[in-house]
Amino acid sequence: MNRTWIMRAALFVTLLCVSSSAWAQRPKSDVGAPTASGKVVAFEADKSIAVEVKQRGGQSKKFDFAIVKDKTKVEFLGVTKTIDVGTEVKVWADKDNPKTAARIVAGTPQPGNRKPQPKKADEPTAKVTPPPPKPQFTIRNPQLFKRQSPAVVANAIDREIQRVLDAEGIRASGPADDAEFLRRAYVDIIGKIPTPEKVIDFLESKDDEKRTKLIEELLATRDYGLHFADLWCDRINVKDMPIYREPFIAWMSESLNQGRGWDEVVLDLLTAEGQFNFSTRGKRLASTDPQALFLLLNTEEGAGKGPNPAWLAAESGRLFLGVQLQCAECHNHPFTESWKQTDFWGMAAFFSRLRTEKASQGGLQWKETPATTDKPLSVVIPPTALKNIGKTVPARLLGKTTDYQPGEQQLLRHELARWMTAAENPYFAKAAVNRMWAHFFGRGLVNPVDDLHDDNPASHPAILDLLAAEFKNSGFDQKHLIRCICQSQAYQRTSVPQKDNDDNHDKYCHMAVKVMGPGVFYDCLKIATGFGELKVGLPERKTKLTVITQFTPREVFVDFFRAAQGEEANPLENTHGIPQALKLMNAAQLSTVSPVVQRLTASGMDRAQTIEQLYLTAFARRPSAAESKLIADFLARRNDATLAQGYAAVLWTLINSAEFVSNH
Amino acid sequence: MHTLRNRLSRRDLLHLTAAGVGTVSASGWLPVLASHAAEQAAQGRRHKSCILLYMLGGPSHIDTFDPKHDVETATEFQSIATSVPGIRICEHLPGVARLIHHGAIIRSMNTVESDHDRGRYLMHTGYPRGSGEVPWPSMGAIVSSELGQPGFLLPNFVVCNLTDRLDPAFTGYLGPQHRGLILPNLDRGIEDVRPAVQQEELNSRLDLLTQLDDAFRGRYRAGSTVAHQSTYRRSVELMRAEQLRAFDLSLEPAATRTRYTPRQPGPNEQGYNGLRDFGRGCLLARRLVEVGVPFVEVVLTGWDTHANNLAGTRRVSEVLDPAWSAVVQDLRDRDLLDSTLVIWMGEFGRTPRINNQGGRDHYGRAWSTVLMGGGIRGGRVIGRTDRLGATVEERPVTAADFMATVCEILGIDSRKVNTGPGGRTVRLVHRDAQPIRELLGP
Repeated sequence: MNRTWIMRAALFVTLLCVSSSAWAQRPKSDVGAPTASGKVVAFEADKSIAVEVKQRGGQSKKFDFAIVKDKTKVEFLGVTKTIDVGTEVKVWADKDNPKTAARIVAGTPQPGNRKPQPKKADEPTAKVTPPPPKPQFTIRNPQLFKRQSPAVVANAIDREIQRVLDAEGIRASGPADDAEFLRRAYVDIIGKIPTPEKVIDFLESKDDEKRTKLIEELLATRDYGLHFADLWCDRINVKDMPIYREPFIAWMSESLNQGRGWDEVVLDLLTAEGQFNFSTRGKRLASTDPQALFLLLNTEEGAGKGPNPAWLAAESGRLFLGVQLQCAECHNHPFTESWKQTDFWGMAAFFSRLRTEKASQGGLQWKETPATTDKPLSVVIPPTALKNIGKTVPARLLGKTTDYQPGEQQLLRHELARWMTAAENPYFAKAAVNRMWAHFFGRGLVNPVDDLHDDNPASHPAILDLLAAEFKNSGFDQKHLIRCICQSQAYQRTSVPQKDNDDNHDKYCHMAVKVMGPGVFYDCLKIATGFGELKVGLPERKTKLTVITQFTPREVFVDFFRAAQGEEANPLENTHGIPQALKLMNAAQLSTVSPVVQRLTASGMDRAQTIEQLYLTAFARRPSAAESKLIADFLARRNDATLAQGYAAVLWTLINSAEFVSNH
Repeated sequence: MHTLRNRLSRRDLLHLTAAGVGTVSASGWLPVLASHAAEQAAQGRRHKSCILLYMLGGPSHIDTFDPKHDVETATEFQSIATSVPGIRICEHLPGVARLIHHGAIIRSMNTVESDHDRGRYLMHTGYPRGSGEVPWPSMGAIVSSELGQPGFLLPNFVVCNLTDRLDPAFTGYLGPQHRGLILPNLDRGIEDVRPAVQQEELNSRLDLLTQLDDAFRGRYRAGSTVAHQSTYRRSVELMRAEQLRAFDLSLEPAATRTRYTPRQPGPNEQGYNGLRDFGRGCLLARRLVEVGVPFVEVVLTGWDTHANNLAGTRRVSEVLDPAWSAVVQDLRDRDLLDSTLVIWMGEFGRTPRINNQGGRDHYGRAWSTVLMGGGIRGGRVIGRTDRLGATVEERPVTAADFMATVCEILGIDSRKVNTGPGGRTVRLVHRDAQPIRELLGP
């Protein structure tokens, strides 16, 4: 991936050599001057650029991760935009193709020279003060970091797991067979089941490296980023309605697919800007900053309300540092000495200067008053807490023994965000690693996954430390972390327990049987049936009082199948209740002859072949001889008018089965 | 105490049905059941049930149960005498007025939220949204977890008339097994409860499914597979359950249906969607309580009278009054009123001051709720507001106090401690909550 941007890599190397607090001095300027500007004739294909396009009305819009698809087409966040010939653009070229930009715009190329745009008379003059400098959008160069090879890390994981198993005299199950591994890797990494063709290919491949290659192949798909973005959307959204998912998922998936560091993604979330409005139709983001979703969800509606410092502190602590500070909102933490009430409010104080104000284009925008050195930064404990109401708590970073001394004109939310995501932050890497581990193994090294503190130790502290260090050293590269985990024998074990190791799942002696989350379940049902979309949600969810938005069939389904509201589901539990089972059994669409069955019926395959195809489609494996016979007998007993009806009945049974919804 | 559910098993019901329905008319089934339930009640064996009449939007207390006259905030409605001397309520609730001796008007509600969603959350859970970062369960989920019987075929928590995207059926930390069944359309009954294929075809598919799932469970021995099979088994039982007939309102005599909905609002009337099904929802609630469902919520929309408060309040009251009084009378006639608590509440009251659009706005500082039946000491008023209806002068009742009162009336220990997310201990009701003792016990 040659997507290191001009100047950034060089700057970053310099910074790494400076003191450990170098992160605070990361350059706040934009990417630098454009490498060219002018009117578009044609773009050169297959290059990544940053492009600023002048739009109607004279305003410019910048697309950071644009990929040239065609002479006039640029893809941005998964959406292809046609940029008309003659449109005025500024272009920042890919570092490795510095000459590209010169050829993609007409006129005289002016590398390194920002051409001042003459202002038209009718152009609205900007009344708004320029937004505070944003953290830059960097793609790091992997070579800059001292990461180990994933195989080495995976071996270290396995040694530690084996050490614990030996110490406790627990026998481990054997490796998963290829089919089991294939479906598991697919569902875990991209949230989808493989096609029958892929299953056959994989099963018949004689390549010794095929599992490692499969992991690589999956990480390179667009679906990888989409899957994890979907999961994160749910996580940050967990106490609210699904709103405004689409732009957020586009932004986050692109960030993940392009391998941005997790620190930078979180930094963007925490320091987002943008406009939004409240209306009778609910909260709406009206900004081009999809990452502002996190801010939006923690902004209260109403006069005198706005961004809620307590919510922001609790949610950012829980999601990105893995600490449950929120208990300390009202009182000292009941379960641990680690968190005091003042720790919570000390963190919340960093958000206390954030307000909402009217935006010039209508609606509201977030606005932070910069700090001044003469006034201490603090927050007053509000009456909703249980104790110390009215007490003034100064801003203090978690785990520090002194209060935070703001610098002149500092934006404190940005300072907190930089501290949270810094390599030396004691919680950040561990929290991310623990979540990622839980994603693949069904339980965290620490549980609950977002409750890391001294009195809640990890089951395998050495693995948590190892992976946290590795994650940091890789520049918080999620793909690297996934490779390390997925290449381990522990991950590649079968989920069939041995006679005596049923209850030792927390020792990783066999893989857990996880249950697909609602979004993954929806996507897999679509694949298995071939329908374009499934209309099996609650009907008539129109609203009178508080209309939120139009929901896609997937959102309606997810909402209907979601576990207890406000909680992250335990992936080891099947939380579907009776309404969900009724839906799966009796929804008309899932009982009809699906496109997949139609194709199979039309293909001219015989009964045995069709049964095999149905198994490959739903379970990503071939049926055993006994299973083939069971299904064949089932079909033989029927008096269907058409072949398709019998196969539809079989597929109905497969998608309603425990095996389908399980990821084993 | 909770033996009815065990005793009234599906087999019993089938037996009862066979005895009663085969020879009598179709609607004969429920009277048989009701008398059976009443017999249980007489023996003190029936657990209590609860019907929540939820007034979405927030009714004006001054124009309903706390009428004020001759002050600048006064209601323009007359007030009328009730079955309890000295207690007067709004003229547009004449049916309810005759039943006040069964109930208690709480005129001193004092709550902190003034946003619909947050107010609704507060009144359904007893906790402000987000407090302690715990996903708190809705009242129906609490009742389902405390009073519901695991073997009961019908859902323990049913919500009728959901015209709103906001979900009142949430279960918070109690988990999906206590999630309310939402009936968005009373004509359709339970969604998807009818097989999409012939019964025989379904049976043969289910046989195959059982074989596949048994094999998978045997091989992987995962708890999630056990849960999957159990959910499917219960769903199939529900599909075949005789009690499903409780959802069929056409089994009620026309005269009864008319008592609940004497005048069906026309589709072009203002507020039609919110008003349309309230009467039928109340009738369904009664039928469900008769077969043992412990919690039914029926929503009535239209109280958010920021403009034209008088016309709006009157329109909604005229839908409310016959349905509410019919359900209370029917419960009384079936000897079920003492074991069924009927709650009337919204998310807050409305401002004493009338705004420049002739409306009243959201107001939580002082407002009213009503409890009826459930064996409470009825015929009384709790608390008092000032002459303007603006502040509470006596016995303020918080949302937590209210929740604690409801729990205690239903026989649920309001001081109970549960296990919440991540193994944390959470209180069913806030520790500072004081149930209204004067309503409890004979």
